[in-house]
Amino acid sequence: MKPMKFGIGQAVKRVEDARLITGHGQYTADYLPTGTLAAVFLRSPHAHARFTVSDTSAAKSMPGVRLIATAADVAHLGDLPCVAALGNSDGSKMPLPPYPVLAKDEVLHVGDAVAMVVAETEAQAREAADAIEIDWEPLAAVIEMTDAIAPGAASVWRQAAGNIAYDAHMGDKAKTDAAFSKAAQVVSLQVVNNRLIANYMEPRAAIGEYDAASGRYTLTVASQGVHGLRDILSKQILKVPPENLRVVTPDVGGGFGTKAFMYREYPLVLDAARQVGAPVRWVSDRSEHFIGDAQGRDNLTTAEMALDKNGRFLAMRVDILGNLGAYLSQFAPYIPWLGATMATGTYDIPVLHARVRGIYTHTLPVDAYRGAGRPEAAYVLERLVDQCARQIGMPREELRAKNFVKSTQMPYKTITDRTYDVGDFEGAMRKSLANAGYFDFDRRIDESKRRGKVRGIGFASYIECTAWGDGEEGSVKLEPDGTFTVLIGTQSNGQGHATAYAQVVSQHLDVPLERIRVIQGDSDRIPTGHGTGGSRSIPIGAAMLARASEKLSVQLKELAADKLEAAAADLEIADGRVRIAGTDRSISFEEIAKLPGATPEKLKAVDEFVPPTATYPNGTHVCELEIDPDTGVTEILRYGVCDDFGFTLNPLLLAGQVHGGVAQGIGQALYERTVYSEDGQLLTASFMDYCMPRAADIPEFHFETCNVPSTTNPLGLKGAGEAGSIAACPTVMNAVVDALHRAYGIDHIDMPATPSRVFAAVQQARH
Amino acid sequence: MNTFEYLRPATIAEAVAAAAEPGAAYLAAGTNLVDLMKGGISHPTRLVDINRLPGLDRLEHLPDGGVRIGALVRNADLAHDPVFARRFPAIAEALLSGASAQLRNAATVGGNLMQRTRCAYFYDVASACNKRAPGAGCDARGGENRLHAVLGWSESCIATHPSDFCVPLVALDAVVEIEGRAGRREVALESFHQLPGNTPERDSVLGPGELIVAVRLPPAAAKFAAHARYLKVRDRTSYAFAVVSAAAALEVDGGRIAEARLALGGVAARPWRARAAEKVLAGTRPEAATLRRAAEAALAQARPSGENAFKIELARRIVARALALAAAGTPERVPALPASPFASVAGAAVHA
Repeated sequence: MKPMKFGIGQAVKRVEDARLITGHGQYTADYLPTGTLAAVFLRSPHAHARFTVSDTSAAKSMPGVRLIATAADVAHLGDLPCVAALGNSDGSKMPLPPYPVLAKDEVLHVGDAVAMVVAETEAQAREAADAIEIDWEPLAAVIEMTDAIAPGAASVWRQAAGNIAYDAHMGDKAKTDAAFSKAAQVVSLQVVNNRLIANYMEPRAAIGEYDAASGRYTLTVASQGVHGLRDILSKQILKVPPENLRVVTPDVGGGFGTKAFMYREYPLVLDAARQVGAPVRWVSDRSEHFIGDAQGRDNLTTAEMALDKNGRFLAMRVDILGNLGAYLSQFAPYIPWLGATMATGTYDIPVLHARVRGIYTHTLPVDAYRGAGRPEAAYVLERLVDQCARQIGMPREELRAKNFVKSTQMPYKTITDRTYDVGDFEGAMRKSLANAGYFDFDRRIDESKRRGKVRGIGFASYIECTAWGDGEEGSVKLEPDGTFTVLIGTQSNGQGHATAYAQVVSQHLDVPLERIRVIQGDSDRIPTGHGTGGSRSIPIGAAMLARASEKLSVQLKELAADKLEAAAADLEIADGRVRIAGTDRSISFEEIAKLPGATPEKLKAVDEFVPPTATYPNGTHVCELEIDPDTGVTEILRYGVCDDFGFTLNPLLLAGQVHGGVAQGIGQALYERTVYSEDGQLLTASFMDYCMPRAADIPEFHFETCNVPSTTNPLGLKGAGEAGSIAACPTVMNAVVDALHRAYGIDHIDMPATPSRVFAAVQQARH
Repeated sequence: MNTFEYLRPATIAEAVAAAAEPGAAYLAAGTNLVDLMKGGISHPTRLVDINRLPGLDRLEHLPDGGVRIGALVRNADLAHDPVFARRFPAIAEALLSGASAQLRNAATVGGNLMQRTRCAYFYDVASACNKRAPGAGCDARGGENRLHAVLGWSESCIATHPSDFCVPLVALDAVVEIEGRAGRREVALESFHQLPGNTPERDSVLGPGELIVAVRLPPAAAKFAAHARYLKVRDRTSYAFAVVSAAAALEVDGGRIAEARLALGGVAARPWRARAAEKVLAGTRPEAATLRRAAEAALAQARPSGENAFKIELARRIVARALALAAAGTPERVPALPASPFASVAGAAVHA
């Protein structure tokens, strides 16, 4: 590929930033049409209770109040759909209990929405919500998964005996049992993937508008893609034709998967706008966010590895309990299952049996969060492999090298039915270990000891899957003023799509990025789209735009050929003009746009790219850290990354994705934990109690790529949005366990390895 | 909706008269009180805003070598006063380890003394709490009490006082100047906060309408400037209250400790002066075994009030470490995250 100044592969700075960091971003809550009313939601204080709304009359007559809706008032609205039902191992389909837009008669988690109040101001709406009288009859709640599946536990859904939403199996149980019975050694481990709360900087918000004359609704919402929301709202909830619904998403301050789902507030503000004849706006604050948005992770996994006497992996057994919360969020059941499909990771493991159970509890719904199943799987596997190495007394890197899928085995079909197209897992590991000074570690450990500290080093070799499923259609158009407009149905949440996509266009049309506008987030302007999630926006979106841009460059050359009286084949695009190669005869894009033959069709190229299969980014991260045994505090000293993303579109944007992902992984490994009390109160319901990683907790990163181009798309790209958060947890925790094992013989500690947990583990080991 | 009367008196005398009414409360920065009102923990019927009272925002270095800190001096202003920080480095360090920059810009000296415990059961109006509702019982006893008191607690209350600032102040013999209807009186800060006993609802010795007007440090407090530290352990690096903290101040003469001052935070309902430990240290060389002995003495009376036995051993280690840091000398600069146990090199301004 020819290097272009602003083209693919260049470390171009983000074109969005000047606007965003000078306060000119336009987020959903910044949109305030004249006469907008405020909606607030009355939420359950109980984890499980029967209730009756005994009196709303006092609230209705309060100043400014325009509408109060309870379940009975919104019976015409459909339920929130779960689109990811799984099959049980006995061949039956899992039942899908209802997820109504407002709870009726019974609430199932703290924060469950019971009523909506619309008033002229938010303060009036809150006052009125306080005045609604509700008789609560608290019922027994079940919070922990292990309690939920125990006999006699309180039941979340009648449809789900034993609170088991589904019980799905993967692989061959008989073969696995046989392999285990012949194994020279079996190593097992039980680990917790702690429940997380996705704390994007911008809490969710939605504004509903209704135009009575046309019968059209407009939803402005902080989302990860407008078309999916439009289709669900239209078909399943509002039950209006899709053309009567416009969904708009302006700037978004972080999504991480959790802003992708249909939430109750969206249909409710639209329905309220229709009823009151004014725009209705709901803006979550941080407190409501903690009890209003889907949460992430929360798996309890038992994994076992069967090895032969030489340390070869023979078979693997995995038993995953995935907490789904009280209601089935849009993709919830699929997340632990998706993890199971990546259970064998980078290793050549011929036999597997996985059991995946989705469990209901009286807690907030759990759904996709940056990585969605894959971080859980990578964490289980890489902890298990380290445990195998310790137990059989083989160096960690040698055990991995022995069992990696070799690059010569590619394409490699896993026992979980995935096909890795390319990859050099051992190469990435060796390079990353060398960068980290892994083999000089022993020299540094003594220096720590002199300061009373305990030092450890750990690493993880991960693989994940990205950019599978739906394709993406989009267009590139030359405007009359010589600028270009891109329409695409993915959705930036802050990643820098406007920069990355413009680079792809600039590669083919050689114009500066400021002459390219990327339009996302409007279902009226963009015909189709599948949003952002699963690290798909670059591998699919950029691949599509590369084709569309090339197509447009051909069309523009054809138009120019007439004017320049030359053959199209003799033309080249350079410096924002079309030129007869080797001459000074050229025509600008602005002039081309004004040519008599320049019909709208010729000035625009539409294309589509449907990925044939997923891409498989992979690599090895290495972490070195120190533990203060007096206090249990862990400090990360070094963190090194060597990742295979196939092809680098923009090194700056890529590093940003990796840094952010690793920071989130460090958060899960050392700090973040969602805690419910026994009766289902969310104890970590603010930043006082839910500990996010801070700048001082994050080390300098060493980041480099060891790209092996993917064969699944023309640019060789692999998705990079989630990899950091997938690799970081096992990397950090393998280092924590390494430190504790060297000093005290401790070989297990769960995430998050908070100072108090480490302190307790060390105390116990000393006695 | 909370309704209350709001008064902004022009003089201290008017303020004292206005606040002597039952149900009245003084409002300074409101960094704690306003939260308590929002949460339904406090319901003052009258707020007496003292922010505009004249003369309370002054920091005076007195001719005798002492210093007088007005009750309305903001935490950040005090910590960043170069002369004050040089003479009383452990106090500056303690101030900067508390809250967030925004809060420190607002919070006052008097308010810091008057802040309430951060016991979660005190803040949760659905829980039983003798401090909030005398006689109601104490849900902390059988609840989440990892962070609760290990010294001076009673069956009726196991809450701790959350202040960082008060810990070095107590170590350095600070005195509280109080204005009341009967005139001015002075109380040693060490006796200002009350242990819970059977009246945990009373945090301090203040009577109705009494107002803190200043905190004074005696001249002798400055003699520890070369060897004074505040060390705070918390569950995360910043914006968190102490699990355990310690202020250590030493007068070192010819390699020996001439005089030692030691106080602990996060362990009791008051900042805890450890006089027995000070005695152990006097006249000794600051060696590890001696420091550990002092730490044992400081915690000799400690006993767990719940699932918090770990705090006793943790406190011993923090005391020993704070003393070692103090013995090593006050650093050139007070770190931005002062004396954090996260600091990998003892005494260096690694976070500055």
